Amino acid sequence: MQRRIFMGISAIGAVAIGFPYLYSCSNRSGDQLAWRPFFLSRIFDLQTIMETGRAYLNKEPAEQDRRKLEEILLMSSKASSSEPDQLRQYFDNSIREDFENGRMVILKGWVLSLTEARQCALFSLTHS
Amino acid sequence: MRAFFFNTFLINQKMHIDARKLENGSVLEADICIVGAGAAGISMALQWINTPYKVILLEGGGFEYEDQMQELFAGKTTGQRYFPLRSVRLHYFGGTTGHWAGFCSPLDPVDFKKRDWIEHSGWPINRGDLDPFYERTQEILELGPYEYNSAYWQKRDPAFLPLPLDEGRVWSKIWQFSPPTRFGVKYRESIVKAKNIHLYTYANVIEIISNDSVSAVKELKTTNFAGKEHRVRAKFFVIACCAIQNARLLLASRRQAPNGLGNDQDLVGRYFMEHVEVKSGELWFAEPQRLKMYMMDFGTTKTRAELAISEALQEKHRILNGTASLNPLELAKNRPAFIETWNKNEKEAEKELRMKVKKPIPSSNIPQPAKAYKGFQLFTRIEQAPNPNCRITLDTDRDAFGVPLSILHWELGSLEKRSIRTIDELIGQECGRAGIARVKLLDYLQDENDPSWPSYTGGGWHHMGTTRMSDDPKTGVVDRDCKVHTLHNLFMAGSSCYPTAGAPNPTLTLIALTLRLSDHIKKSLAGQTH
Repeated sequence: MQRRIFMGISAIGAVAIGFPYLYSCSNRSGDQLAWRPFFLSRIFDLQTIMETGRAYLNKEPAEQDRRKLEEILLMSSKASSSEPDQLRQYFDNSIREDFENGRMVILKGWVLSLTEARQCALFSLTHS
Repeated sequence: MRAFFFNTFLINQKMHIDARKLENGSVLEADICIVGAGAAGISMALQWINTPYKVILLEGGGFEYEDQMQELFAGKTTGQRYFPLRSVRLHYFGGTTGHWAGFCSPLDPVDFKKRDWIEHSGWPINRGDLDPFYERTQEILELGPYEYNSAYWQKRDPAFLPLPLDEGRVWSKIWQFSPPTRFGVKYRESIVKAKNIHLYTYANVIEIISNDSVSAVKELKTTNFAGKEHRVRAKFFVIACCAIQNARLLLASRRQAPNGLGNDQDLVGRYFMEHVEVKSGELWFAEPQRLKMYMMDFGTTKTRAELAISEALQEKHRILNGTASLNPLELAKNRPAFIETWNKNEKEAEKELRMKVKKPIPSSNIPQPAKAYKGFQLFTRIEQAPNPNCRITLDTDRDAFGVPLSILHWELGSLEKRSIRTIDELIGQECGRAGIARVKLLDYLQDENDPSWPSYTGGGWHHMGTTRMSDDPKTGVVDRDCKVHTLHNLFMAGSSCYPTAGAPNPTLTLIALTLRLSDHIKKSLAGQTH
């Protein structure tokens, strides 16, 4: 319980302090891998990630904007660092929390967390 | 009178009698008469060996498969596509155990409960009432110990690892596999040699005749292709002919009751249930997995697990109970759906049926234990919601003995479809939370507003519920002891008594229920004696 509270407080603080810095760094090519849906990329090929991303954007046209998606992803992932490993860790945590809390979306039949669906969408925008 | 003495003489010589060879018009008498020598009938007869009671066991067929006998099980189907009725049950000594696959698992406690989201759910007994009988059934079906906890099996085999899921959400439900026990082979000698069990083959019961007040069964009328008709009298009658034939026999017995015996409330034949069995999704792991606990090699595997949904989540999502088995996609994708295999024209189905009896269940396409796979097919099996419109009725066409043939109307509703989708979604959610895999739903499940079913939707040849159990005669044909409410000496044995189907294959439960019935009749007989 204490760890959860600590993580929560840290996360809120991290978003407030780290977000502007992270956002400015997010376009660096070295970070792009960290933005990809890591788990899904072990199951999906790049084409499937693209198609899944497009399916998400068709469903949520309001998010069809790279900067907006990055912003939402960072907000929901509670990122506190732009280090690729840490960023990936934050996304992993966010994905787990999504599943825990039922924040899921079904795209082309895949039962996905909202975060990884958005990661696919971001990938499709940056690679189209 | 002459016939009676003639029979008595025969009975004293041997305990198996071919009813075709009896003098026409014979009258047979016993304490108990069991109709049908399948899983239920034979299991019950075994309980009476070496008791002071005389038991008659009637089997319509002989000891071998015969086309002529199968023809008596023919019938029509309407509604949801279904298998040819003449092929779904075997009409000989041993019954359908002659080609069953041996899958066994008890019903879950939730299956017995009244669930407000499932109309007509709820048994008058609970899981605890059946537990002692499940335990006894394990031996009859040549299973292992009465242990269906995955931790128990993991202790016996450390490679038997469950997926790391929250058991409060998705748990690993264990199945045990019977060899499978072919009752016609395994128990023939025991039955035939038993001095007090009198097995009559080629004794097709074509009518149950009650007394004038329709409060008790007076006798049964049997016939065969030799043109002989006999009568059977007993203190207690147990009908154990399978869910379709149990209902058919009651409905066709209209001499004293125009709507059929036990059918005062128009319930006989209604609430027919099958398991909906259909491939539903794919489960993809990041790394290849062996998943020994979930794999099955027919004839070798003694236990395996399927993914099941917790009672709490079933209630939260208001869904039917069901489980999903995992089969390597690489192998499963080339496997035809059961409904395709068994729903060809009648001649082809018959040919396949004969082959199945000789060499049951193909053993090809089995997972290689040493091989790991990334992708698995989710094959989901769910209970069907009890539905009064799913039913057995009588046709105007008749079989060779003049008994009206069955018509099965099978229909599936939105609850079944939503349940399958939700079960796979919940498995996907839990595997996602655990960070081990992702689920992909098949096309037909992707639109939650689409009520249609794919052509490969099938059942498991599991027929249940046509003489459902209830304490209230207005809502059930039999009471908690499987006695027909309106007839004091008539009992129905087997899965026809199920008020709900649960997810597991029905054999284990139907035998457990039959053993419970057997004990009940023993007590009743003892009460009459003292």
